[in-house]
Amino acid sequence: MDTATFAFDERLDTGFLDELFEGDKEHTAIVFEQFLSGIHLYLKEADDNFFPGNMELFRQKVHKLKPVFSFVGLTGLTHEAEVIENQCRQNCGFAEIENSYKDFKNAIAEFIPVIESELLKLK
Amino acid sequence: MKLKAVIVDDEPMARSFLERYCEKNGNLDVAGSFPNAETALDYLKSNEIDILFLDVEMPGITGFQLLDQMLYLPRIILTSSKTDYAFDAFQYNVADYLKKPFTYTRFHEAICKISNIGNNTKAVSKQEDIFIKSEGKYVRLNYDDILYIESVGDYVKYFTASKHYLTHSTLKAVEEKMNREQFMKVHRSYIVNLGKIKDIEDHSLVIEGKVIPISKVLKSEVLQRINLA
Repeated sequence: MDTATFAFDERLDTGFLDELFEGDKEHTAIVFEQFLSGIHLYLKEADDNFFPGNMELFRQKVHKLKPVFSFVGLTGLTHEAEVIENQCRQNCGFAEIENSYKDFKNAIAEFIPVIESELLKLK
Repeated sequence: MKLKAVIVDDEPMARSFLERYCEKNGNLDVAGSFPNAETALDYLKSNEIDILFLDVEMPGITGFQLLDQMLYLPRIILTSSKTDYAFDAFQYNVADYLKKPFTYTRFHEAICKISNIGNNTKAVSKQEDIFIKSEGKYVRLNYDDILYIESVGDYVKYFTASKHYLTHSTLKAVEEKMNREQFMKVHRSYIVNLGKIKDIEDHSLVIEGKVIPISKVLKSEVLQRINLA
């Protein structure tokens, strides 16, 4: 399926998405749909470990999330996830990690409508 | 004939990409795609495959623990979102290392590399020892016992875990004589056994506690040789 002309939203990493999907609109839609159906569960699993202070398990959940954002062009969030993962590795204080995690979740909430809108366009 | 591949990754989107890429490649047949190492292991115990796409960090059994429990090792391609498994990757003779997320172009390169490894394996010399002249006599050293070789003026020192041997030679001559994939000149004064590397940092690597500098221009080749680039 040649969809090289599909224009992703400028707020996404369009160059990376073009390279990743090579114009395969069907695959792009599958991945965007998988992201939207899975992201809330991922975040719940991260929350379930973060708030009781299970920081190693929390780190593992964040680690898993890292590439997931890039799959939908949110490469900046992959970087933010890596920052949080490193903070956990370096045993930074809970408050410091909490601030980063809060900003991270706010950014995700901001981008979810963008991904939803892209999925509609793709379909 | 198509190569039989198995995918092990607990992240559904990552599995989806690999399944798609295998299909696109045309030379790979996905015999199984598993969300955890336990179910994969059940399959792998009774089925022989050619290529294993393996995530490292998974809940329960990790990727490396899965490899420990396998009766044979197929060609292994690690898929992970971090790259600090150099030592383990080398120990398990990992063919390539795909950092997630990766493009089809990068995936294709990995498959090509596997094909080349298959061809080269047949041509690899079986000679496992080298004779060096040290302190007036010839000493037989097994290649696998050599940790690294250091240039010291008009001499070179071969280091093993238990002792070192001084011999009159140059690093260039040693490099030509050894000509084996497991060794690489990483600095004007050092040739190292890549399989013995414990850690790699920005400009150095560590073998048995010895910090060895890596030349800036050779850094990317070092990472490539241990499948980290």
